[in-house]
Amino acid sequence: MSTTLANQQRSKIISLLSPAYLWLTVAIFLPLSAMLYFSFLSDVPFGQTEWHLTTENYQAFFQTTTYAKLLWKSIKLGLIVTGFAVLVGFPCAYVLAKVIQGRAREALFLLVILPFWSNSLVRIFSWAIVLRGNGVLEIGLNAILPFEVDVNLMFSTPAIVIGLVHSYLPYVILTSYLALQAIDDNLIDAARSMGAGKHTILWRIILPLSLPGLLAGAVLIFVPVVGSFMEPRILGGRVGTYFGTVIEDQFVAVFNWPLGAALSFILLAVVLVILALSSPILRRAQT
Amino acid sequence: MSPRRFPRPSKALHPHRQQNRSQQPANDPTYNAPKRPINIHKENTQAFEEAPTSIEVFWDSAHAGKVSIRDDALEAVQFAAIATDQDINDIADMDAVKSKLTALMPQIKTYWGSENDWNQFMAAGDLEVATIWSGSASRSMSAGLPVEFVVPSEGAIGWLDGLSIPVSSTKQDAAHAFINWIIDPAFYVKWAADGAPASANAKAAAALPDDAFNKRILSDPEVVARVQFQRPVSDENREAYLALWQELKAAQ
Repeated sequence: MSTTLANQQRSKIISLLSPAYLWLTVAIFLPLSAMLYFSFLSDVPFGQTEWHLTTENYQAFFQTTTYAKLLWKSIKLGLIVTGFAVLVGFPCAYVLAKVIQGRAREALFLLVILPFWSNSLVRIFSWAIVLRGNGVLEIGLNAILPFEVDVNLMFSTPAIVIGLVHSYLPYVILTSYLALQAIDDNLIDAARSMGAGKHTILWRIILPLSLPGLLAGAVLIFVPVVGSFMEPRILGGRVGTYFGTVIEDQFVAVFNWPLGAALSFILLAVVLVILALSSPILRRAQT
Repeated sequence: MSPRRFPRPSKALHPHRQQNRSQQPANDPTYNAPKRPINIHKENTQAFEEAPTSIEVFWDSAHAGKVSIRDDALEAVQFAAIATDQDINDIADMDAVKSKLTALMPQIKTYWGSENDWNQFMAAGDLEVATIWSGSASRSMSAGLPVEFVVPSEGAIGWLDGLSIPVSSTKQDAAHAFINWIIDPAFYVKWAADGAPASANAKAAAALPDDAFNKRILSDPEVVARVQFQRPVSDENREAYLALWQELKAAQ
């Protein structure tokens, strides 16, 4: 009897899990495996091209300082964007979870997830219209202020950061919101009744308990930003060359898929190493 | 494809392109039906009282932060080769090219990647001087952008687009009819009004009105003589140019 139940339970689990894992296998594992294979080819196996297996594409990363420089530049960009997103997103999530109730919360939530409803390319070009000289921002400010201001942020690192923070901010708000909402209000009331000030409650109760959500949001932002190429290319101009744009160039501009694939896997490896190295620290922070 | 179905080369090809064509490998399909000389630079006329004549305008500090070139390693290196008085197809002094491009980088506002980029940046006043293809320039000017196209005294990069028919094509007659149509003077005059590349068909070029862009700018033999036409680039050189261009971009 118990064996039959166990079998029924197992088949239920398999039927519920298999669509997702089948999809992941087809959509992620197979293309990634193909790219991994490409990264070890001497040339694109296209038409009559002769090719062989090689590690030269990985060696290329170490033969010049260009790629390492760009990788470091991309990691710094990832840290800056994640930092700004946390600074802006966490207070917003706190207010949504603990201060505002009812319809107002729903309306504000709608504003938070609005970026997800528009195409990313449209969002970036919208920023281009706002940030460029004689753009919407400059015209708006000059219409309000009694003196003339020159606001031309387009084609600069701040423009890239603004565009990326806007794109990824909802991740940190949503994950932090869920963590903050799970905190029992009685804990805060108890701390207050025992004389704890606002800062003490924030540092000793709210932040530690919401840290898993905050960190999950930070990781969700950091990983794609390190490999981003569209925002840097469109908003960054001369300073918009990053590791992601160089990878894109290999696929789109110079038809060197093997090198592009190798650089992508190096990026993946570096991001995984960063996450692995930081995980003990993150675990300690959560306990 | 059979050449006898087309106008005889002596009439179909513009003289300067015939001369250049002889330098190309005879079996290179890219040069079978040359029809487009290309590129050089162009400025936002609102930023200039008088159109510049020298490529050195790109390095002029008066236009710092208002300059653009295409994001292309080959084009960037050959552009600097012209600025350092070198043959774009046989660059002897790469150090000179590198230092010239290094000096150019702080001048650059952004790189452009498409005609659309270029038009947007010019219209927004982000740029005052930038490289561009002649066909794109004529289209931008037709659309009303206040820009002027200049072939610098030091020279310009040119290349030839080809119209080729695969031997295996099962629609050879239709392909020949299409090619004859696209190089036909009557069609070319209509096309040029909206912005067309320079034609390799001398009759088509001659049929343009005197104020047409391709006749006004590109029919002057002295101008054409300054154009250096791109020849096939070895993989080794292409990789070296790409490495240099990436190094310079990464340093920004």
